[in-house]
Amino acid sequence: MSKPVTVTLEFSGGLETVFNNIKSRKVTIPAPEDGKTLDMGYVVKYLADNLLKGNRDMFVLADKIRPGILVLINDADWELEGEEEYEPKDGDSLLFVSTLHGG
Amino acid sequence: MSPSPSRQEEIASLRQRLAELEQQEREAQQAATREEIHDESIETKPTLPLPLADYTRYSRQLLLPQIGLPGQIALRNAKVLIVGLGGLGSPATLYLAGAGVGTLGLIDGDTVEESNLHRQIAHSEDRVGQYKVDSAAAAVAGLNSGVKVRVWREHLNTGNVLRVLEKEEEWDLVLDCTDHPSVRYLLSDAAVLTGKTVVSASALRWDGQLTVLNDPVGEGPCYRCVWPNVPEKGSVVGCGEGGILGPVVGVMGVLQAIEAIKVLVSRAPKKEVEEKTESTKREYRMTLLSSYPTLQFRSVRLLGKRKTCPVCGENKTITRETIETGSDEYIQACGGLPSEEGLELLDPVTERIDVLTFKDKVYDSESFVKRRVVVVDTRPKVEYGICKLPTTNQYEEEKAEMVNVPMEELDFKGRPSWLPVPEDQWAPKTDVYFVCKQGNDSQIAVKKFKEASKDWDFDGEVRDIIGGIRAWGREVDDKFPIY
Ligand SMILES: [Zn+2]
Repeated sequence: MSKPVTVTLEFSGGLETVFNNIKSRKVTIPAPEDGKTLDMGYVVKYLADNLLKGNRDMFVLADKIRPGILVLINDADWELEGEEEYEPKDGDSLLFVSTLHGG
Repeated sequence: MSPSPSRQEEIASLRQRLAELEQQEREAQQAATREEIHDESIETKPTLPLPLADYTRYSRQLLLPQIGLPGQIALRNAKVLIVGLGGLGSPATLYLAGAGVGTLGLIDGDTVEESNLHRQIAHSEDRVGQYKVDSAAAAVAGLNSGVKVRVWREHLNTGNVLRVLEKEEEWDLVLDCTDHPSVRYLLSDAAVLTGKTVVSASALRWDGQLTVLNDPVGEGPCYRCVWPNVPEKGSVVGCGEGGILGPVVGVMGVLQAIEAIKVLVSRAPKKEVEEKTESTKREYRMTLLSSYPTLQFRSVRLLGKRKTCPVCGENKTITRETIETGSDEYIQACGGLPSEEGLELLDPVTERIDVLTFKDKVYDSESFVKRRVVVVDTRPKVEYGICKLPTTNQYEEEKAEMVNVPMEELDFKGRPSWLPVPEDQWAPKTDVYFVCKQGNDSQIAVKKFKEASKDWDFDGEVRDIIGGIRAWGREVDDKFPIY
Protein backbone atom coordinates (compact mmCIF):
# COMPACT_ATOMS: atom_id res chain seq x y z
CA MET A 1 0.00 0.00 0.00
CA SER A 2 1.30 3.45 -0.97
CA LYS A 3 2.01 6.33 1.38
CA PRO A 4 1.02 9.93 0.69
CA VAL A 5 3.62 12.01 -1.15
CA THR A 6 4.37 15.71 -1.06
CA VAL A 7 5.33 17.15 -4.42
CA THR A 8 5.77 20.56 -6.01
CA LEU A 9 3.05 21.04 -8.54
CA GLU A 10 3.53 23.51 -11.37
CA PHE A 11 1.39 24.60 -14.29
CA SER A 12 2.42 26.58 -17.35
CA GLY A 13 1.23 27.63 -20.75
CA GLY A 14 -2.27 28.58 -19.60
CA LEU A 15 -3.06 25.37 -17.68
CA GLU A 16 -2.90 27.35 -14.44
CA THR A 17 -6.22 28.96 -15.40
CA VAL A 18 -8.06 25.76 -14.46
CA PHE A 19 -6.04 25.41 -11.26
CA ASN A 20 -7.09 28.63 -9.53
CA ASN A 21 -4.40 30.55 -11.42
CA ILE A 22 -1.76 29.17 -9.08
CA LYS A 23 1.37 28.40 -11.06
CA SER A 24 3.34 26.67 -8.35
CA ARG A 25 2.49 25.07 -5.02
CA LYS A 26 3.36 22.21 -2.70
CA VAL A 27 0.70 19.55 -2.50
CA THR A 28 0.36 16.37 -0.50
CA ILE A 29 -1.32 13.65 -2.47
CA PRO A 30 -3.07 11.09 -0.26
CA ALA A 31 -2.63 7.41 -0.92
CA PRO A 32 -5.36 5.85 -3.07
CA GLU A 33 -8.18 4.52 -0.89
CA ASP A 34 -8.50 1.30 -2.83
CA GLY A 35 -4.95 0.31 -1.89
CA LYS A 36 -3.70 0.78 -5.43
CA THR A 37 -0.31 2.28 -6.26
CA LEU A 38 0.17 6.02 -6.04
CA ASP A 39 1.48 6.50 -9.55
CA MET A 40 1.27 9.34 -12.08
CA GLY A 41 -1.92 7.93 -13.57
CA TYR A 42 -3.51 8.29 -10.13
CA VAL A 43 -1.99 11.76 -9.59
CA VAL A 44 -3.52 13.05 -12.83
CA LYS A 45 -6.96 11.78 -11.86
CA TYR A 46 -6.56 13.08 -8.30
CA LEU A 47 -5.68 16.58 -9.56
CA ALA A 48 -8.61 16.58 -11.97
CA ASP A 49 -11.03 15.46 -9.24
CA ASN A 50 -9.75 17.58 -6.36
CA LEU A 51 -7.78 20.64 -7.43
CA LEU A 52 -9.16 21.48 -10.83
CA LYS A 53 -11.64 24.34 -11.02
CA GLY A 54 -13.37 24.96 -14.30
CA ASN A 55 -13.20 23.21 -17.62
CA ARG A 56 -12.00 19.66 -16.93
CA ASP A 57 -11.44 19.01 -20.67
CA MET A 58 -8.55 21.45 -20.60
CA PHE A 59 -6.59 19.01 -18.45
CA VAL A 60 -7.89 15.49 -18.99
CA LEU A 61 -9.93 13.55 -21.49
CA ALA A 62 -11.50 10.40 -20.03
CA ASP A 63 -9.20 10.74 -16.98
CA LYS A 64 -6.07 10.62 -19.17
CA ILE A 65 -3.86 13.65 -19.63
CA ARG A 66 -5.12 15.70 -22.53
CA PRO A 67 -3.17 15.57 -25.81
CA GLY A 68 -1.04 18.69 -26.19
CA ILE A 69 0.05 18.71 -22.54
CA LEU A 70 3.66 17.90 -21.79
CA VAL A 71 4.20 16.30 -18.37
CA LEU A 72 7.63 16.80 -16.84
CA ILE A 73 8.91 14.94 -13.82
CA ASN A 74 11.88 16.76 -12.31
CA ASP A 75 12.25 18.65 -15.59
CA ALA A 76 12.31 15.55 -17.80
CA ASP A 77 9.57 14.34 -20.15
CA TRP A 78 7.57 11.78 -18.16
CA GLU A 79 7.91 9.35 -21.04
CA LEU A 80 11.55 9.07 -20.00
CA GLU A 81 10.41 8.07 -16.51
CA GLY A 82 7.65 5.57 -17.24
CA GLU A 83 4.72 7.90 -17.82
CA GLU A 84 1.61 6.93 -15.82
CA GLU A 85 3.46 4.16 -14.05
CA TYR A 86 6.05 6.44 -12.46
CA GLU A 87 5.59 6.55 -8.69
CA PRO A 88 6.32 10.08 -7.47
CA LYS A 89 8.57 10.57 -4.45
CA ASP A 90 8.54 13.27 -1.79
CA GLY A 91 10.10 16.44 -3.17
CA ASP A 92 9.51 15.59 -6.83
CA SER A 93 8.61 18.43 -9.15
CA LEU A 94 5.64 17.75 -11.41
CA LEU A 95 5.26 20.27 -14.19
CA PHE A 96 2.33 20.33 -16.61
CA VAL A 97 2.84 22.45 -19.71
CA SER A 98 0.33 23.01 -22.47
CA THR A 99 1.46 23.79 -26.00
CA LEU A 100 1.61 27.43 -26.96
CA HIS A 101 0.95 28.39 -30.55
CA GLY A 102 1.06 32.18 -30.53
CA GLY A 103 3.77 34.20 -32.13
CA MET B 1 -11.11 63.13 -39.37
CA SER B 2 -10.08 59.72 -40.65
CA PRO B 3 -9.82 58.98 -44.37
CA SER B 4 -12.72 57.21 -46.07
CA PRO B 5 -12.40 53.45 -46.78
CA SER B 6 -11.66 53.96 -50.46
CA ARG B 7 -9.02 56.55 -49.61
CA GLN B 8 -7.53 54.13 -47.10
CA GLU B 9 -7.37 51.46 -49.78
CA GLU B 10 -5.66 53.86 -52.12
CA ILE B 11 -3.14 54.81 -49.44
CA ALA B 12 -2.50 51.13 -48.67
CA SER B 13 -1.93 50.32 -52.34
CA LEU B 14 0.37 53.30 -52.80
CA ARG B 15 2.34 52.26 -49.72
CA GLN B 16 2.54 48.78 -51.18
CA ARG B 17 3.87 50.13 -54.45
CA LEU B 18 6.35 52.31 -52.57
CA ALA B 19 7.57 49.29 -50.59
CA GLU B 20 8.09 47.32 -53.80
CA LEU B 21 10.03 50.14 -55.42
CA GLU B 22 12.14 50.58 -52.29
CA GLN B 23 12.84 46.88 -52.28
CA GLN B 24 13.99 46.99 -55.92
CA GLU B 25 16.15 49.98 -55.15
CA ARG B 26 17.69 48.18 -52.17
CA GLU B 27 18.44 45.13 -54.27
CA ALA B 28 20.10 47.27 -56.94
CA GLN B 29 22.20 49.04 -54.34
CA GLN B 30 23.16 45.79 -52.69
CA ALA B 31 24.27 44.36 -56.01
CA ALA B 32 26.36 47.46 -56.62
CA THR B 33 27.87 47.23 -53.12
CA ARG B 34 28.74 43.60 -53.63
CA GLU B 35 30.54 44.42 -56.86
CA GLU B 36 32.52 47.18 -55.14
CA ILE B 37 33.52 44.82 -52.39
CA HIS B 38 34.54 42.32 -55.00
CA ASP B 39 36.68 44.90 -56.82
CA GLU B 40 38.23 45.98 -53.55
CA SER B 41 39.25 42.44 -52.72
CA ILE B 42 41.00 42.11 -56.07
CA GLU B 43 43.10 45.18 -55.31
CA THR B 44 44.12 44.26 -51.76
CA LYS B 45 46.36 41.22 -51.71
CA PRO B 46 46.42 38.91 -49.96
CA THR B 47 42.62 39.00 -49.89
CA LEU B 48 40.86 39.27 -46.55
CA PRO B 49 38.17 36.69 -45.89
CA LEU B 50 35.75 39.42 -44.77
CA PRO B 51 35.19 42.94 -46.13
CA LEU B 52 37.43 45.31 -44.18
CA ALA B 53 34.56 47.18 -42.57
CA ASP B 54 33.12 43.95 -41.16
CA TYR B 55 36.08 43.52 -38.80
CA THR B 56 35.07 46.70 -37.00
CA ARG B 57 31.36 46.34 -37.38
CA TYR B 58 31.23 42.85 -35.87
CA SER B 59 34.25 43.21 -33.57
CA ARG B 60 32.31 42.70 -30.35
CA GLN B 61 31.02 39.32 -31.43
CA LEU B 62 34.24 38.39 -33.27
CA LEU B 63 35.89 38.56 -29.85
CA LEU B 64 33.84 35.64 -28.59
CA PRO B 65 36.02 32.54 -28.86
CA GLN B 66 33.01 30.49 -29.95
CA ILE B 67 32.50 32.80 -32.92
CA GLY B 68 35.82 34.28 -34.06
CA LEU B 69 36.62 34.79 -37.71
CA PRO B 70 35.33 31.39 -38.89
CA GLY B 71 32.04 32.02 -37.09
CA GLN B 72 31.61 35.44 -38.67
CA ILE B 73 32.38 34.04 -42.11
CA ALA B 74 29.80 31.31 -41.49
CA LEU B 75 27.22 33.95 -40.56
CA ARG B 76 28.04 36.00 -43.65
CA ASN B 77 27.60 32.97 -45.89
CA ALA B 78 24.45 31.82 -44.13
CA LYS B 79 20.95 31.89 -45.55
CA VAL B 80 18.14 31.87 -43.01
CA LEU B 81 14.44 31.64 -43.76
CA ILE B 82 12.12 33.34 -41.26
CA VAL B 83 8.52 32.17 -41.42
CA GLY B 84 6.20 34.74 -39.88
CA LEU B 85 7.09 38.39 -39.29
CA GLY B 86 5.07 38.96 -36.15
CA GLY B 87 6.07 39.14 -32.50
CA LEU B 88 8.71 36.42 -32.82
CA GLY B 89 9.88 37.14 -36.33
CA SER B 90 10.39 40.86 -35.70
CA PRO B 91 13.18 40.66 -33.11
CA ALA B 92 14.63 37.44 -34.56
CA THR B 93 15.00 39.10 -37.96
CA LEU B 94 16.51 42.28 -36.53
CA TYR B 95 19.07 40.43 -34.40
CA LEU B 96 20.09 38.12 -37.24
CA ALA B 97 20.48 41.15 -39.51
CA GLY B 98 22.47 42.87 -36.79
CA ALA B 99 24.75 39.84 -36.45
CA GLY B 100 25.54 39.94 -40.16
CA VAL B 101 23.70 36.90 -41.48
CA GLY B 102 24.27 37.22 -45.23
CA THR B 103 20.83 36.35 -46.59
CA LEU B 104 17.47 36.53 -44.89
CA GLY B 105 14.31 35.11 -46.44
CA LEU B 106 11.05 36.51 -45.11
CA ILE B 107 7.66 34.93 -45.71
CA ASP B 108 4.32 36.18 -44.41
CA GLY B 109 1.06 37.05 -46.16
CA ASP B 110 -0.17 39.48 -43.51
CA THR B 111 -0.09 43.25 -43.60
CA VAL B 112 0.88 45.45 -40.65
CA GLU B 113 -2.00 46.46 -38.37
CA GLU B 114 -1.97 48.99 -35.59
CA SER B 115 -2.68 46.31 -32.98
CA ASN B 116 0.57 44.58 -34.03
CA LEU B 117 2.84 47.45 -33.07
CA HIS B 118 2.97 46.83 -29.31
CA ARG B 119 5.02 43.71 -29.91
CA GLN B 120 6.01 43.44 -33.58
CA ILE B 121 8.83 45.92 -33.31
CA ALA B 122 10.22 45.53 -36.82
CA HIS B 123 7.19 47.48 -38.04
CA SER B 124 6.22 51.10 -37.50
CA GLU B 125 3.26 53.46 -37.67
CA ASP B 126 4.15 54.74 -41.10
CA ARG B 127 4.25 51.19 -42.47
CA VAL B 128 0.76 50.16 -41.29
CA GLY B 129 -0.97 48.61 -44.29
CA GLN B 130 2.24 47.36 -45.92
CA TYR B 131 3.03 43.68 -46.15
CA LYS B 132 4.87 42.65 -43.01
CA VAL B 133 7.70 41.25 -45.11
CA ASP B 134 8.19 44.60 -46.87
CA SER B 135 8.04 46.46 -43.58
CA ALA B 136 10.57 44.08 -42.02
CA ALA B 137 12.80 44.34 -45.12
CA ALA B 138 12.82 48.11 -44.70
CA ALA B 139 13.78 47.72 -41.02
CA VAL B 140 16.61 45.34 -41.98
CA ALA B 141 17.83 47.73 -44.68
CA GLY B 142 17.98 50.53 -42.11
CA LEU B 143 19.88 48.39 -39.64
CA ASN B 144 22.30 46.55 -41.92
CA SER B 145 22.36 47.36 -45.62
CA GLY B 146 24.83 44.54 -46.23
CA VAL B 147 22.16 41.90 -45.62
CA LYS B 148 20.46 40.49 -48.68
CA VAL B 149 16.71 40.13 -48.16
CA ARG B 150 14.29 38.03 -50.18
CA VAL B 151 10.57 38.35 -49.50
CA TRP B 152 7.49 36.20 -50.14
CA ARG B 153 4.22 38.08 -49.69
CA GLU B 154 2.22 34.94 -49.01
CA HIS B 155 1.40 32.60 -46.17
CA LEU B 156 3.29 29.36 -45.95
CA ASN B 157 0.96 26.62 -47.20
CA THR B 158 0.97 23.13 -48.66
CA GLY B 159 1.24 24.59 -52.14
CA ASN B 160 4.39 26.65 -51.60
CA VAL B 161 6.22 25.11 -48.65
CA LEU B 162 8.47 22.71 -50.57
CA ARG B 163 9.21 25.30 -53.25
CA VAL B 164 10.17 28.02 -50.77
CA LEU B 165 12.10 25.66 -48.50
CA GLU B 166 14.19 23.96 -51.09
CA LYS B 167 13.86 25.08 -54.69
CA GLU B 168 14.12 28.85 -54.47
CA GLU B 169 17.10 29.10 -52.16
CA GLU B 170 19.42 26.80 -50.25
CA TRP B 171 18.50 27.68 -46.70
CA ASP B 172 20.89 26.72 -43.94
CA LEU B 173 18.28 27.15 -41.28
CA VAL B 174 14.60 27.91 -40.81
CA LEU B 175 12.94 29.89 -38.01
CA ASP B 176 9.39 28.99 -37.06
CA CYS B 177 7.89 32.31 -35.98
CA THR B 178 4.34 31.37 -36.97
CA ASP B 179 1.21 31.62 -34.87
CA HIS B 180 -0.90 28.59 -35.72
CA PRO B 181 -0.39 24.87 -35.04
CA SER B 182 -1.28 23.76 -38.57
CA VAL B 183 1.51 25.92 -40.00
CA ARG B 184 3.90 24.74 -37.28
CA TYR B 185 3.26 21.08 -38.19
CA LEU B 186 3.47 21.84 -41.90
CA LEU B 187 6.76 23.71 -41.59
CA SER B 188 8.31 21.06 -39.35
CA ASP B 189 7.19 18.22 -41.64
CA ALA B 190 8.56 19.97 -44.72
CA ALA B 191 11.81 20.79 -42.89
CA VAL B 192 12.33 17.12 -42.03
CA LEU B 193 11.64 16.15 -45.65
CA THR B 194 14.05 18.76 -47.01
CA GLY B 195 16.70 18.28 -44.33
CA LYS B 196 16.52 21.62 -42.53
CA THR B 197 16.96 22.43 -38.88
CA VAL B 198 14.14 24.51 -37.41
CA VAL B 199 14.43 26.91 -34.50
CA SER B 200 10.90 26.98 -33.17
CA ALA B 201 9.36 29.30 -30.59
CA SER B 202 5.92 30.28 -29.40
CA ALA B 203 4.38 32.55 -26.82
CA LEU B 204 1.08 33.37 -25.19
CA ARG B 205 0.15 35.68 -22.32
CA TRP B 206 3.21 35.62 -20.00
CA ASP B 207 4.74 32.34 -21.17
CA GLY B 208 7.02 31.16 -23.93
CA GLN B 209 8.50 27.93 -25.32
CA LEU B 210 11.56 27.31 -27.46
CA THR B 211 13.04 24.20 -29.11
CA VAL B 212 15.59 23.53 -31.80
CA LEU B 213 14.12 20.82 -34.02
CA ASN B 214 15.71 18.34 -36.40
CA ASP B 215 19.14 19.26 -35.07
CA PRO B 216 21.43 17.65 -36.04
CA VAL B 217 19.49 17.06 -39.25
CA GLY B 218 18.04 13.56 -39.24
CA GLU B 219 18.87 13.02 -35.56
CA GLY B 220 17.00 15.50 -33.40
CA PRO B 221 13.25 15.33 -32.73
CA CYS B 222 10.83 17.20 -34.97
CA TYR B 223 7.76 19.21 -33.89
CA ARG B 224 5.62 16.08 -34.17
CA CYS B 225 8.03 14.13 -31.97
CA VAL B 226 7.64 16.76 -29.25
CA TRP B 227 3.89 17.30 -29.74
CA PRO B 228 2.65 14.03 -31.26
CA ASN B 229 -1.01 14.86 -30.71
CA VAL B 230 -2.42 17.53 -32.95
CA PRO B 231 -4.79 19.89 -31.08
CA GLU B 232 -8.48 19.60 -31.88
CA LYS B 233 -10.06 22.27 -33.96
CA GLY B 234 -11.39 25.06 -31.79
CA SER B 235 -9.07 24.36 -28.85
CA VAL B 236 -6.31 26.66 -30.05
CA VAL B 237 -5.92 29.95 -28.19
CA GLY B 238 -4.13 32.65 -30.16
CA CYS B 239 -2.69 36.00 -29.11
CA GLY B 240 -5.88 37.69 -30.36
CA GLU B 241 -7.95 35.84 -27.77
CA GLY B 242 -5.58 35.01 -24.93
CA GLY B 243 -3.51 38.16 -25.07
CA ILE B 244 0.26 38.51 -25.13
CA LEU B 245 2.78 40.82 -23.52
CA GLY B 246 5.12 42.34 -26.11
CA PRO B 247 8.41 41.72 -24.32
CA VAL B 248 7.46 38.08 -23.61
CA VAL B 249 7.11 37.17 -27.27
CA GLY B 250 10.06 39.50 -27.93
CA VAL B 251 12.31 37.55 -25.57
CA MET B 252 11.34 34.32 -27.32
CA GLY B 253 12.22 35.82 -30.72
CA VAL B 254 15.57 37.02 -29.38
CA LEU B 255 16.23 33.52 -28.00
CA GLN B 256 15.54 32.14 -31.48
CA ALA B 257 18.22 34.45 -32.84
CA ILE B 258 20.67 33.13 -30.21
CA GLU B 259 19.96 29.51 -31.10
CA ALA B 260 20.11 30.31 -34.82
CA ILE B 261 23.53 31.95 -34.49
CA LYS B 262 24.78 28.95 -32.49
CA VAL B 263 23.58 26.47 -35.10
CA LEU B 264 25.13 28.46 -37.97
CA VAL B 265 28.44 29.02 -36.19
CA SER B 266 28.67 25.39 -35.10
CA ARG B 267 28.77 24.43 -38.75
CA ALA B 268 31.91 26.53 -39.37
CA PRO B 269 35.09 24.54 -40.10
CA LYS B 270 35.88 22.92 -36.78
CA LYS B 271 39.62 23.23 -36.25
CA GLU B 272 39.64 26.99 -36.62
CA VAL B 273 36.97 27.58 -33.99
CA GLU B 274 38.25 27.57 -30.40
CA GLU B 275 37.97 24.09 -28.88
CA LYS B 276 34.50 22.88 -29.58
CA THR B 277 32.60 21.98 -26.45
CA GLU B 278 33.21 18.34 -25.61
CA SER B 279 30.52 16.27 -27.25
CA THR B 280 28.59 14.45 -24.61
CA LYS B 281 25.60 12.31 -25.40
CA ARG B 282 23.21 14.65 -27.12
CA GLU B 283 20.27 15.80 -25.04
CA TYR B 284 17.25 17.46 -26.52
CA ARG B 285 15.74 20.29 -24.54
CA MET B 286 12.94 22.76 -24.48
CA THR B 287 13.34 26.15 -22.85
CA LEU B 288 10.32 27.45 -20.99
CA LEU B 289 9.81 31.04 -20.01
CA SER B 290 7.28 31.83 -17.35
CA SER B 291 7.29 35.51 -16.52
CA TYR B 292 4.38 35.93 -14.12
CA PRO B 293 4.14 36.14 -11.14
CA THR B 294 7.79 35.15 -10.74
CA LEU B 295 10.09 35.46 -13.73
CA GLN B 296 11.73 32.14 -14.44
CA PHE B 297 13.41 30.21 -17.19
CA ARG B 298 13.73 26.47 -17.14
CA SER B 299 15.21 23.96 -19.47
CA VAL B 300 13.45 20.61 -19.64
CA ARG B 301 14.68 17.35 -21.10
CA LEU B 302 12.70 16.00 -24.06
CA LEU B 303 12.21 12.45 -25.18
CA GLY B 304 14.01 12.92 -28.50
CA LYS B 305 13.00 11.37 -31.77
CA ARG B 306 10.04 9.01 -31.72
CA LYS B 307 10.15 5.76 -33.65
CA THR B 308 6.42 6.17 -34.18
CA CYS B 309 6.70 9.68 -35.67
CA PRO B 310 4.82 9.75 -39.00
CA VAL B 311 7.37 12.05 -40.62
CA CYS B 312 10.77 11.15 -39.14
CA GLY B 313 10.05 7.74 -37.59
CA GLU B 314 10.22 4.21 -38.94
CA ASN B 315 6.83 4.12 -40.63
CA LYS B 316 6.59 7.31 -42.59
CA THR B 317 3.09 8.27 -43.59
CA ILE B 318 3.83 11.94 -44.27
CA THR B 319 5.77 12.47 -47.46
CA ARG B 320 6.29 15.15 -50.09
CA GLU B 321 3.32 13.66 -51.93
CA THR B 322 0.93 13.79 -48.98
CA ILE B 323 1.83 17.44 -48.50
CA GLU B 324 1.51 18.41 -52.14
CA THR B 325 -1.55 16.36 -53.01
CA GLY B 326 -4.36 15.66 -50.53
CA SER B 327 -3.49 18.94 -48.92
CA ASP B 328 -6.96 19.42 -47.48
CA GLU B 329 -6.85 16.19 -45.58
CA TYR B 330 -3.36 17.00 -44.44
CA ILE B 331 -4.32 20.42 -43.13
CA GLN B 332 -7.41 19.06 -41.37
CA ALA B 333 -5.21 16.52 -39.67
CA CYS B 334 -3.03 19.39 -38.44
CA GLY B 335 -5.88 21.16 -36.69
CA GLY B 336 -7.21 23.06 -39.70
CA LEU B 337 -6.10 26.38 -41.10
CA PRO B 338 -6.18 29.58 -39.11
CA SER B 339 -9.69 30.86 -39.61
CA GLU B 340 -11.76 33.84 -38.70
CA GLU B 341 -14.93 32.03 -39.56
CA GLY B 342 -17.72 32.23 -37.05
CA LEU B 343 -19.54 29.39 -35.41
CA GLU B 344 -22.98 28.55 -36.79
CA LEU B 345 -24.69 26.89 -33.90
CA LEU B 346 -27.98 28.78 -33.84
CA ASP B 347 -30.62 29.76 -36.33
CA PRO B 348 -29.81 33.37 -37.26
CA VAL B 349 -33.48 34.33 -37.61
CA THR B 350 -35.19 32.69 -34.65
CA GLU B 351 -32.36 32.29 -32.15
CA ARG B 352 -30.08 35.28 -32.79
CA ILE B 353 -30.43 39.02 -33.12
CA ASP B 354 -28.39 41.56 -35.05
CA VAL B 355 -27.12 44.67 -33.26
CA LEU B 356 -29.38 47.13 -35.05
CA THR B 357 -32.56 45.20 -34.25
CA PHE B 358 -31.29 44.69 -30.71
CA LYS B 359 -30.74 48.43 -30.27
CA ASP B 360 -34.16 49.17 -31.68
CA LYS B 361 -35.94 46.66 -29.54
CA VAL B 362 -34.18 47.20 -26.24
CA TYR B 363 -33.13 50.84 -26.18
CA ASP B 364 -35.36 52.69 -28.61
CA SER B 365 -38.77 51.02 -28.63
CA GLU B 366 -41.66 52.63 -26.83
CA SER B 367 -43.49 49.37 -26.47
CA PHE B 368 -46.61 49.40 -24.29
CA VAL B 369 -45.88 46.00 -22.94
CA LYS B 370 -43.14 46.41 -20.37
CA ARG B 371 -40.43 43.79 -20.70
CA ARG B 372 -37.55 43.04 -18.46
CA VAL B 373 -34.26 42.72 -20.36
CA VAL B 374 -31.25 40.87 -18.97
CA VAL B 375 -28.01 41.04 -20.93
CA VAL B 376 -25.51 38.34 -20.01
CA ASP B 377 -21.99 39.22 -21.17
CA THR B 378 -19.93 36.02 -21.32
CA ARG B 379 -16.52 37.60 -21.90
CA PRO B 380 -13.68 37.23 -19.39
CA LYS B 381 -13.77 39.80 -16.58
CA VAL B 382 -10.77 41.68 -17.94
CA GLU B 383 -12.51 42.24 -21.26
CA TYR B 384 -15.74 43.29 -19.56
CA GLY B 385 -13.58 45.82 -17.72
CA ILE B 386 -12.43 47.30 -21.04
CA CYS B 387 -15.86 48.09 -22.45
CA LYS B 388 -19.46 46.90 -22.24
CA LEU B 389 -22.88 47.54 -23.74
CA PRO B 390 -24.93 50.34 -22.16
CA THR B 391 -27.83 49.66 -19.79
CA THR B 392 -29.52 52.98 -20.53
CA ASN B 393 -30.73 54.68 -23.68
CA GLN B 394 -29.79 58.18 -24.85
CA TYR B 395 -32.26 59.73 -22.36
CA GLU B 396 -30.59 57.96 -19.45
CA GLU B 397 -33.59 55.66 -19.02
CA GLU B 398 -32.73 52.25 -17.61
CA LYS B 399 -33.48 49.73 -20.33
CA ALA B 400 -31.58 46.60 -19.39
CA GLU B 401 -29.91 44.77 -16.53
CA MET B 402 -26.38 43.60 -17.24
CA VAL B 403 -24.35 40.78 -15.73
CA ASN B 404 -20.88 39.56 -16.57
CA VAL B 405 -20.66 35.77 -16.40
CA PRO B 406 -17.48 34.47 -18.05
CA MET B 407 -17.94 31.21 -19.98
CA GLU B 408 -16.22 29.07 -17.36
CA GLU B 409 -18.59 30.37 -14.67
CA LEU B 410 -21.67 29.86 -16.79
CA ASP B 411 -23.04 26.83 -15.08
CA PHE B 412 -26.51 25.42 -15.49
CA LYS B 413 -26.70 22.95 -12.66
CA GLY B 414 -30.17 23.84 -11.43
CA ARG B 415 -31.44 27.42 -11.67
CA PRO B 416 -28.37 29.55 -12.29
CA SER B 417 -27.50 31.81 -9.37
CA TRP B 418 -25.91 34.33 -11.73
CA LEU B 419 -29.25 35.21 -13.31
CA PRO B 420 -30.41 38.42 -11.56
CA VAL B 421 -34.07 37.38 -11.74
CA PRO B 422 -35.63 35.41 -8.89
CA GLU B 423 -37.63 32.41 -10.02
CA ASP B 424 -41.03 33.84 -9.14
CA GLN B 425 -40.37 37.12 -10.89
CA TRP B 426 -40.25 36.17 -14.55
CA ALA B 427 -43.20 38.53 -15.04
CA PRO B 428 -43.20 41.11 -16.49
CA LYS B 429 -41.92 39.16 -19.42
CA THR B 430 -38.20 38.62 -19.17
CA ASP B 431 -35.92 38.37 -22.20
CA VAL B 432 -32.35 37.17 -21.94
CA TYR B 433 -29.66 38.22 -24.42
CA PHE B 434 -26.21 36.72 -24.43
CA VAL B 435 -23.31 38.72 -25.80
CA CYS B 436 -19.58 38.06 -26.18
CA LYS B 437 -16.73 39.55 -28.19
CA GLN B 438 -17.56 38.21 -31.65
CA GLY B 439 -20.67 36.08 -31.26
CA ASN B 440 -19.30 32.56 -30.87
CA ASP B 441 -19.36 31.90 -27.11
CA SER B 442 -22.73 33.61 -26.87
CA GLN B 443 -24.23 30.96 -29.18
CA ILE B 444 -22.93 28.18 -26.97
CA ALA B 445 -24.45 29.99 -23.99
CA VAL B 446 -27.87 30.25 -25.67
CA LYS B 447 -27.78 26.58 -26.55
CA LYS B 448 -27.06 25.64 -22.94
CA PHE B 449 -29.60 28.10 -21.57
CA LYS B 450 -32.35 26.72 -23.78
CA GLU B 451 -31.53 23.20 -22.76
CA ALA B 452 -31.60 24.04 -19.04
CA SER B 453 -34.53 26.48 -19.04
CA LYS B 454 -36.97 23.78 -20.16
CA ASP B 455 -37.32 22.93 -16.48
CA TRP B 456 -37.99 26.50 -15.44
CA ASP B 457 -41.10 28.56 -15.80
CA PHE B 458 -39.35 30.74 -18.35
CA ASP B 459 -41.21 31.81 -21.46
CA GLY B 460 -39.33 34.93 -22.53
CA GLU B 461 -37.07 35.26 -25.50
CA VAL B 462 -33.47 34.11 -25.39
CA ARG B 463 -31.11 35.12 -28.14
CA ASP B 464 -27.49 35.96 -28.72
CA ILE B 465 -26.16 39.08 -30.38
CA ILE B 466 -24.71 38.42 -33.82
CA GLY B 467 -21.13 39.66 -34.06
CA GLY B 468 -20.97 40.47 -30.34
CA ILE B 469 -19.76 43.78 -28.98
CA ARG B 470 -17.50 44.16 -32.01
CA ALA B 471 -20.56 44.49 -34.21
CA TRP B 472 -21.97 47.04 -31.74
CA GLY B 473 -18.81 49.11 -32.16
CA ARG B 474 -18.90 48.72 -35.92
CA GLU B 475 -22.56 49.30 -36.64
CA VAL B 476 -24.16 51.17 -33.75
CA ASP B 477 -21.71 53.29 -31.80
CA ASP B 478 -18.59 54.59 -33.51
CA LYS B 479 -17.24 55.78 -30.15
CA PHE B 480 -17.30 52.23 -28.79
CA PRO B 481 -13.78 50.82 -28.20
CA ILE B 482 -12.71 47.98 -30.50
CA TYR B 483 -9.98 45.87 -28.92
ZN1 LIG C 1 9.40 13.45 -35.74
